[in-house]
Amino acid sequence: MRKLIALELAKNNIRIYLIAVAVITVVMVGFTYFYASVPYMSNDEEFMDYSSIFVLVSMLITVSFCILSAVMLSKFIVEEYTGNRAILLFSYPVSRRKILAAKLIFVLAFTFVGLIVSSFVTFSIFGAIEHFAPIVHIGVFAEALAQVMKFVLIESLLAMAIAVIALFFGFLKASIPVTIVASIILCALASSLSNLAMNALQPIATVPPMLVAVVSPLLVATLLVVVLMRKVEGMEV
Amino acid sequence: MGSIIEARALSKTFGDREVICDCNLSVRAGEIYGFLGANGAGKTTVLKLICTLLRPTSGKIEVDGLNAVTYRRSVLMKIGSIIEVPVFYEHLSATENLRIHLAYLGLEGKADIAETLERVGLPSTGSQKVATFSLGMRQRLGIARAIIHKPKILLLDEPINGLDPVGIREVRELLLSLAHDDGVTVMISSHIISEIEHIADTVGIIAGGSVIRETSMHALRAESGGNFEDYLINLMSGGVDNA
Repeated sequence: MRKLIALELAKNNIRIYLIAVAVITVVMVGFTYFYASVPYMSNDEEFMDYSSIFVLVSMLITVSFCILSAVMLSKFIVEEYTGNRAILLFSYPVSRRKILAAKLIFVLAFTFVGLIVSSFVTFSIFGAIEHFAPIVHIGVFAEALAQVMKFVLIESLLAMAIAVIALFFGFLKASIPVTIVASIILCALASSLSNLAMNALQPIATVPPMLVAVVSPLLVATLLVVVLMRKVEGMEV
Repeated sequence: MGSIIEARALSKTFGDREVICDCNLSVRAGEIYGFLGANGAGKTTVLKLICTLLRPTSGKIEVDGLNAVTYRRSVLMKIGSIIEVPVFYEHLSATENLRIHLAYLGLEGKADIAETLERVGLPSTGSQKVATFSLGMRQRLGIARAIIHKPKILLLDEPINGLDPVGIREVRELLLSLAHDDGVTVMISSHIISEIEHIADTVGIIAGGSVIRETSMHALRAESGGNFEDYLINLMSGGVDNA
């Protein structure tokens, strides 16, 4: 399995995705500053604390990674299982399930790790600059970072589930646009749901209910992976 | 010699369209089998059935004694193929493409990539990306990929597409050398009669989803009574003798 994953790495140009992660991180530092400085621009706004800013930004990061993940799954899976590319893939004397599993493991691990690292780097850069030129005066940075990283961990799981569900629709339609649009719609759905949860409870206290909200999409995603495996096994090209 | 590819009462239906029906064919080990048919006669479908990309609706296929449905992976190890237009990893070089292919076959480091590229007439492309290759170069790389693991059987679907006359002759000589020197069984499909005429030992003619004639080139020539092309065209268009 490790060899199959390494082959996916060799076959695909990974550099563009790493660049995408770097770009997302830089843009998100910008967004963090945007949220932090909103109160300075309009006098009637309340000043926000570190945690609220970070939770908002972490949701933006999650949406970005859901879309990145959908793009990668389109490239690694949807495209590979259509037309002449599928002929090549199915000509290898290797278990079809294992090849699909290798692709999924690679893209999902990339999404999961990428989201966590990108969030951590975004907030750390912001925090480092805050150390010298603070503009947020409510809350303790280190505490807020520790809290938001728990939130980010849950969001990474959610992002993986969303990516798989979006892939399923894209795979059925053999279409890259469907994969990406499905991912965006699911993100919108998930973020409005978590907004509801956040309004009902205090943002950081929502970790246990969020966990429950993440388990059900993960179960759906697992089920869809099983269905996809079956489909690939019986596919004719 | 016995047959290395054997199809019996083969049929394949897509939806309610029967593309292959009651098709029998047998390819003997070590020969070059020319598979002739008009566009849409079912050549590619039969080749896909042999290399396990499609599953027969009924009937069976044996490749080197193994059922193609049950022993998919063992069958694939014995086959090198170009089906339809070969695709590559565009951002990689010819060598890297072949290296990845070998890794999937579990043969990394066990084949001479440079020698294979030389053999198909594609030496010294170095680190040049496949994306920049011409149609002819891609076809040659496709052949290199099909033969690099020294398969027992080579399945080629219209392999001379995109090749210039020099290229066509080189491929023809390569196939003859593979069959005669390396003992590879070659099954080559085409709708171009002259291409088959030059190299095939046995000719199978497919029309309307079934092999309607399977005989040695020698016998076919004798039957044709001097007008080989007309005779074959007549057979390919359904075998109705309107002469």
